[in-house]
Amino acid sequence: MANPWDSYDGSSSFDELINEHGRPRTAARRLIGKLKRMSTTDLAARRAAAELAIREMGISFTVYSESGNIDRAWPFDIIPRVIRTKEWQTVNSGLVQRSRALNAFIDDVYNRQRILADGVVPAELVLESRNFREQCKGAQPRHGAWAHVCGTDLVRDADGRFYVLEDNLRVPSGVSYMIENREITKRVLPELFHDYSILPVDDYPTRLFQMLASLCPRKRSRPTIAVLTPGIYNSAYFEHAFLAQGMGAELVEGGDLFVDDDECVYMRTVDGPQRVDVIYRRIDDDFLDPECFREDSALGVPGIMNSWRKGKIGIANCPGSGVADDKVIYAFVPDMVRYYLNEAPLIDNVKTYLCMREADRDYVLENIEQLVVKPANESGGYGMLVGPHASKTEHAKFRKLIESNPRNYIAQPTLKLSTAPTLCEDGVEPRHIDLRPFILHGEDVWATPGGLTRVALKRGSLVVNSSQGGGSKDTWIVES
Amino acid sequence: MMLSRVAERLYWMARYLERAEDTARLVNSYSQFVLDIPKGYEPGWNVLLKTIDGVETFEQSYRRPTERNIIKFLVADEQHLNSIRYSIKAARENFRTTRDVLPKTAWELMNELHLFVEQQSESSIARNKRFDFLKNIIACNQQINGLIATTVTRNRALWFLQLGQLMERADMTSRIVDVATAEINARTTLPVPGIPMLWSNLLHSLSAISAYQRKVGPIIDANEVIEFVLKMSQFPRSLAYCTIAIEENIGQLKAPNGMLRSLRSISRKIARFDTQEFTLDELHKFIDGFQAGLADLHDGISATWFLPPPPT
Repeated sequence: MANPWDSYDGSSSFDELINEHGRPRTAARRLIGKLKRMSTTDLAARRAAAELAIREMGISFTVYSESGNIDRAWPFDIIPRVIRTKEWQTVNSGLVQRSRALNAFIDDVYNRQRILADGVVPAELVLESRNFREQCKGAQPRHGAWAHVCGTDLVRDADGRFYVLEDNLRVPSGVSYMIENREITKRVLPELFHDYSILPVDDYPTRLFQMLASLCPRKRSRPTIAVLTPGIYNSAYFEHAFLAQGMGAELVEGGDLFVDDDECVYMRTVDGPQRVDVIYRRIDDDFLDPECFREDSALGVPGIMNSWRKGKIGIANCPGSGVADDKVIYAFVPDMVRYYLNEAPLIDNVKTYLCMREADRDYVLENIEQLVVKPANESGGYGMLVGPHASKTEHAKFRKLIESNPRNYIAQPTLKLSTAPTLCEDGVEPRHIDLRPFILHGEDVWATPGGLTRVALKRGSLVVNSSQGGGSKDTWIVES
Repeated sequence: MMLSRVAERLYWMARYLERAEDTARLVNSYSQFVLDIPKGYEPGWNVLLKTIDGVETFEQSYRRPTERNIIKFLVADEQHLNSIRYSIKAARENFRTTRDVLPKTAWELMNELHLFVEQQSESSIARNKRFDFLKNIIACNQQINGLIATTVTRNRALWFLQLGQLMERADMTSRIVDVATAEINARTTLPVPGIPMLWSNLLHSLSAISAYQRKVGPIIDANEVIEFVLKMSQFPRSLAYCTIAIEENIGQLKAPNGMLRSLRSISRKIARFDTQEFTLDELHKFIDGFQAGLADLHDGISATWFLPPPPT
């Protein structure tokens, strides 16, 4: 029988595990060696074991479709992605640096607005953004930290370097899959672990707990922490429950909480009201407080914004953090790093054209076939145009969209996302991947070793989002 | 610390798990029992519907009360509230929203059970598959119960789980006693050995046969059976046991005095019921009263500990 690796050709992009000569990269040598000794049948059996483990572990996410919400098992590829510790250290420092700059920026725009006064970021860009929340002006959260949990999407281009694609500062998800992926790999491919020392990922809930505890508004040895979920029908409900369990925190819905006359937040318990110190909220700003934002929100807690402003409750991420989670603001993050930290950025942005700038706009309209165009404000890969894969009609449509609302669009060159060997129907084939590490920012700043590697399971596809047919891989940071 | 919402879902999760297990036991013992009945005397399967109070719902979606239809209704029906499949699904949904207070391994067992039922229930209606299927349901449930009993901290989570389990069990035991007694009396045409067999089936459906034999002896006597399942306070499926255990659990939860008083009144009524000298009508009335007591108790539990309905 043919070896499933025989026809592997990862030469069209940078491949994470196989170099340009078709040989395993140093850090992946032992891994590939072991995998190559496995037959097609054996690999298929391991994959089946992984699928069963996923079902039994109840790992699922919800897809919202026309035929109702489907709870799908998490698509997982059993071949891990490997990164050397040495390379990771630089990325790690870059992530920490970026988080410091972003938080300094958010704190600044809601208070003194120095960066706007100095003209480093155009004031109207921030103040007229729908992500800028008037209600947050003057707020002084502890440690000057606003975006406490950040999921930064990294991609590796053809030159083999990491770039930041975007910073998710609102309610980024995926960290539970990072942890579960490791657990599945341990179950189904335990022999791979013998030859490696791999940085563990399962202490994330502890780190998250410590970070949240550092936001506690009063002196307590063990603050009361609650994870606020929109409920069972949210696509990330699994993760909300996972993290609450891992932290020993309460998993609450809006109806479980209320604000009393003393402006503190309480949970309804079988023994009566219990005060909450910190809320890790997994619902958007819009739904957080019907008194402040959307009146029709049944998910939120009336009065909670007032408690937060008065310093009676810690909320992660702080309301208003989304002001820095905008694809236009993104283009200015390297400037923020220089402005607030007086340092050179350690990880670069992807080259970004801002359609609000005339010269950039002309370039984008001229070259739309080669570019990826994104709306400033969407997430999950929705509403974007991948120029080289789109039709003429779509190009025309996006040209119009850009001309009618330039502030709302950015464009980037179409990256050659790196690939990694992935077990497919016909053997092992290269598939495009990205990487989402998570950064925790409270009293200290810390980033996950590695993160969630997302993989576009369709051949040639660049879309890695789980809602659009993406899967994931275990990610190893290894000593080599 | 326990959220009212979590308390409510734990309670219902336990109720649904117990319901699935009890239904499995009921269907299993009845199916076994039918095998022993001499040709020409085979009883109908309607009695199972009566026991779970499902005759009307059944008639809405099925035409004839055949064995196949009734078993499908009780085991594999996705819509009907009392089917094993529905109960397991509902238990899992409740579990899903309370995962943070229960051990992770219990969640995995719950998923295994749910997967098993989703995959196998449709194909387990035929007699040759049915027994294994039902046995497995019972075994999985007991595995979950065992895990909870040996790993969950002795605190509110456990008390609410036990409360739900006991409420459901008390309800099921009382239904089985009620319907089975009426059925047996309607069947005086059976040849003589048939009658004790019916009573022993009642014990089987409550997993009470061995316990009965040790306590009373090998002879299955109608009055002794009723005495046993109503009053034998050391047997964990009897009405007396369930009532006492419910009282202990709500005591742990610091129940209001009124609730404890009405429970003691239920206990007294069980003690006063004369199992040696009673008419069918008296038994039926007693069971009705018992079930009304349970319903009141449920309302009390709900008002005391669960989340108030959202303001309208």
